[in-house]
Amino acid sequence: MKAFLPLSVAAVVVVAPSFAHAAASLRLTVSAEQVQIGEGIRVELSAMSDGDEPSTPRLRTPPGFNVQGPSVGSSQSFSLSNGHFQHQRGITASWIVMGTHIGRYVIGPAVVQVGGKTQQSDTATIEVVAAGTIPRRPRRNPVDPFDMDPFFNQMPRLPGLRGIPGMPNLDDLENELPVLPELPPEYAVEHAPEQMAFLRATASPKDVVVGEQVTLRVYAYGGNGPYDEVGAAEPSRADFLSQIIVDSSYRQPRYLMEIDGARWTAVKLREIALFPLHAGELVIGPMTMGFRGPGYPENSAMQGLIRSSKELRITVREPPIAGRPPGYELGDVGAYSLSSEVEPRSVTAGDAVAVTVRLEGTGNVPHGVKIPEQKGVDWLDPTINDAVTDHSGVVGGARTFRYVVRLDEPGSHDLGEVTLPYYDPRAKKYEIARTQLGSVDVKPGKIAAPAPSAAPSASSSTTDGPLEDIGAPRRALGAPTVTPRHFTDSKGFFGLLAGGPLAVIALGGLTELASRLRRRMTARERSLSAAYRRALADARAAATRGDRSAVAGAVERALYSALEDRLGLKARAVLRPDLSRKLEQAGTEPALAAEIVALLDDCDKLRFASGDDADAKRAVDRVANVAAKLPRVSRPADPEPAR
Amino acid sequence: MKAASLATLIAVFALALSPAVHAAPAPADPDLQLFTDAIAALDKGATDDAIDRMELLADRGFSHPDASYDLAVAYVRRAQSRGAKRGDLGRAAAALAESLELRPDDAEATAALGRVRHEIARKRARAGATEVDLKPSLGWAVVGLFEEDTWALLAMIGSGVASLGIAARLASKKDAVRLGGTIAASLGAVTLLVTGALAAFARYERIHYRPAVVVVEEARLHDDNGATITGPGSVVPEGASVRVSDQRGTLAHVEWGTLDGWLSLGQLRLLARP
Repeated sequence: MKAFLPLSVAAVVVVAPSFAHAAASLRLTVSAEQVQIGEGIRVELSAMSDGDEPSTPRLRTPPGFNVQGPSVGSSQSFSLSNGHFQHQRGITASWIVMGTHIGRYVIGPAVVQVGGKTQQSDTATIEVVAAGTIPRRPRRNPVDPFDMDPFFNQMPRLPGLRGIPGMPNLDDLENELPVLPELPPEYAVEHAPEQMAFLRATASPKDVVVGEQVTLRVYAYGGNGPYDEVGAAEPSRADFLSQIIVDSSYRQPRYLMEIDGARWTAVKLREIALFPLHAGELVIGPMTMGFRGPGYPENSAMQGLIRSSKELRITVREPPIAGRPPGYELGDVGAYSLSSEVEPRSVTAGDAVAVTVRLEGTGNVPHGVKIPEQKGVDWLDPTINDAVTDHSGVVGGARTFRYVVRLDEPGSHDLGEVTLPYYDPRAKKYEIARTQLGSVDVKPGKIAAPAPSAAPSASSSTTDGPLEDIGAPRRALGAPTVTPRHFTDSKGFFGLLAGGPLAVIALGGLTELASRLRRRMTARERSLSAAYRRALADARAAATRGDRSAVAGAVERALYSALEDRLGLKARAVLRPDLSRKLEQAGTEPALAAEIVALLDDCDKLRFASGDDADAKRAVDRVANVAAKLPRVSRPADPEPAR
Repeated sequence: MKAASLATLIAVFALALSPAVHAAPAPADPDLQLFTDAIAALDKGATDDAIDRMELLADRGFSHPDASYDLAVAYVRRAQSRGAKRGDLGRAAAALAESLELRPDDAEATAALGRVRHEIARKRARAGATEVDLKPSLGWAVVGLFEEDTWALLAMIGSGVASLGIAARLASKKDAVRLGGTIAASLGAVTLLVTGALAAFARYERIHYRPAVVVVEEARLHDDNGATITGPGSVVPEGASVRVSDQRGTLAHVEWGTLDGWLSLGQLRLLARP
C-alpha cells in the first residue's frame, strides 16, 4: 500500500470541461506513469456534473492494450455556499489497462455522456517498459496482503481471465496471505450476518450537533477467499457535507480474520467524514457492492455477488441557543485558533496593508471569519487558501484569508480583532477564536481625509436609488405584537356556523313532533279504554263518598265502555232481555254474560235506593272483575278523531 | 453597654437583610440588551455586528416588528456599502415582510418594502434578467381578497340569515312571511357555504403555509426528483414572497404563483408570524 501510493499519484490530469455551459468536471488519473509489459495499471475517471448524471463512460486506449472494465460507482454531493445550494452528481469509472508493447502511449481521453452530450477528459501518458526493467519492490507489507505493485503482478485473477499471461491466480494469492498477528479493532465482528459475504457500515458518533463530524466507515467481509470490489453504489448522504477519506478498497490493506470459526477476508471500502447540514433524524443510505472473485457466485454478469450494508440513522441537534455568541454561523463546529499578520505597519492615507489571517483547527473549517468594522478602514474581499485534510480520520487543517485593507484616515488605527465564534462539541460550549491585529500608523498622504461619518459603510455607498429614502432604525421597541385571536380558532366555530340553521330546522321538527304527540295524547284520552278507566275511577270515588246513585251510574258507564272496547258491542242500545244473547254472540262466556246482565240489574237497584254502601263497593269490584274477564275481540281500529 | 451592643447588632442584622444592601442592578432583559447593542453597532456603522446581533435575537425566538424593521435597515445599509453581500437586499425584503406580518398596518415598512423590491428589480434589469412576476392562482387570489376573520364574519352573517329564514318559514302561517323566509334561508345558506369555505381555506393557508422570502439572487425551482423546473416563473427572483408548504431536510416545498417546487432552505428566509 505504502509503496503503491507514490506511483498512484504520478499522473494526474485535471480537465476543464469541454463545454462550459454543461458545468461538468472530469478528472482522469492513472495509478502509474511507468509499467512493465504485462502489468496492469488502474485508470480512473471522476466525472461530476451540476445537472444530469454523467453516464456511459468509455476509455480510449491505443491498439494493443488489454482493457478490463469499467467498474462504475455513483456519487452525489450537496453543498451550500454563500446561500447558494449546489447539487452535483457524478460517477467514478475505473479500468484496468495492460500494455503489451514497449513504448510511450497516450491513454484517453475518457468520454461520458452528460445531458445527451458527450464530454471528454484530458489524456494521460504512460510508458510501457520491458519486463524486469523496473526494480522489484520490497516484499509486501505483511499487514497489506493486497499491496500489489505493479498492479496486475499481484492482481487477483478475475473470472474469465484465467490463463492470460500476467494475470495471477487468486488461489495462489490466497495461499500467500499471511495470518495477521493483530486485527485492528474496527474490523472486529462477532457473527457474520450473511453467508459468504457481507458489508458492515458504522458511523460514529451517532448523536451530534449540526456541523460536527460523523465518520462513516464501510467494511467488506468475504468468506470465500479473495475478492474484488465491483459495481459499488455509494451510500446516499444528501443531508451531509462529505469529505472522503478512503475512496476505494483498492489501496486498503486486507485482513484475514476468524468469524464463527471460518476464515474471512476484510477490507475497508470507504471512510467518509460527514458534516450534518441540519437538525433531525438524518439517514445515511446503504452501500452496495459486488464481491467478484473465484469463490463468489455472480448475481448478474460481471457484477459479482451483490451485498448491501444497513441504513444508518444519526440524531442531529442544533447547538444550544443559550450562550450563543452574536455572529455564530450554524455549522461552525470544532476547535479552532486564529493567528494573523499585518504588513506594513505604516502607510500613507489611501494606501493599503495586507492582513493575513490563518484559521486552524479540527472540524469542517469555516469559510469565513468576523472582521472588525471601523470608520476609515475598508476591507476588500479576501483570497482564501485551503489546506484542509484529515489526520487519523479527523478532518481539519487550515484556511488562510488574505485581505487587502485600505486605510483612508491619517492617524494611528488599532485594527481591532478578527474573531470566529464556534461551538466546541467536546467542551459542549461556545468559544470565540480571536486574534488581535494591532495598530497601523497612517500618515497624511494621497487623499484628503473624508469627513467624519457615523456610518462609514454607508459612506462608501455604491448605490444611489430609492433605498436612500429608507429611514433610520427604530431605537425603541413599540407595542409588541398581540397574537390575534381568529374566529376560526374558536372551538367548534365551523360546527356553530352550520349548527345555527340546522338547530332551527331541528327545533321546527321538534315542535311538529310535540304537536303530534299532543294530538295523539288527546285522542288517546278520548278512547274507550280511557273512558272505562275514568268511569271506574269515578265509581271508586263515589263509593268512597257513599253516593250509591253515582256509583251505579259510573259502574254502568265503565261496563258499557269495557264492552264496547273489548267486544265492539254498543250494549247501551241493546234491550236488557236481549243483552245476554248479544253478549254471547259477541264471544262472551254465558256465565260472564249472565254476570254482566246481573251487574246492570244491580246497578239499577243501587240507583233506586236499594242496597247499601257495601253493595256499592262490591259493584265497583264486580265491574273491574268483569272487565278483566272480557275477551278482546278483534275489530277495526277506532278512527282517529278529527283534529 | 449591653443594650447598645444589642441595638447595634439588630441594626447590622436589619441592614444586612434590607433590600437596599442586596439590591444589585436587576439583570437587563438579554433580548432587549441584544437589541440595544445592535442599534449601537448600527450607529457606529458596524452593520455586520448589528446584523449578527439581530439575527441572534431572531434565533432566540424574539420577534417584534420594530426589530425586524431595524434588521432590514441594517441589511439595506450593508447592501449600499462596499461590504455588500449577495442577498442583502433579499434579506432586507424578508425582514420588512416579517415586520408587516407582525404589524400589517405599518405604512413605513410597507413603503420600505416597495423601495427594496424596486431596487432589486432595478438591479436585475441592469443585469439583463427577465422579470416574471407570478400571481397567485385564482383560488388563492379569491381567498386573499379579504382577511380570514372577514370571511368568518360573513359566514356567521350567512348562518344567522339562513337560521332566521328557516325559522320564519317554519313558524309563520302567512304566505308572504313564509316566502320571505324561504328566500332569506336560501341566500343565507349560499352565503354561509361560500364564505364558510373561504374562511376554512384562509385558516388552512394560515396554519399549513408559512410565508417566506427568497434571499438569494435567483432561486431555481426543482421538482420532486430534483430536476430543475424550466419555463416562465421557474426562477424565483430575490425578494420574492413565496409560501412554504412542506420541509424535508434542507429543502422546502414552496408555491410561487401557480408553480410549485423545491428550494433549498438556505435560499429562503421563513417569516415569523404573530
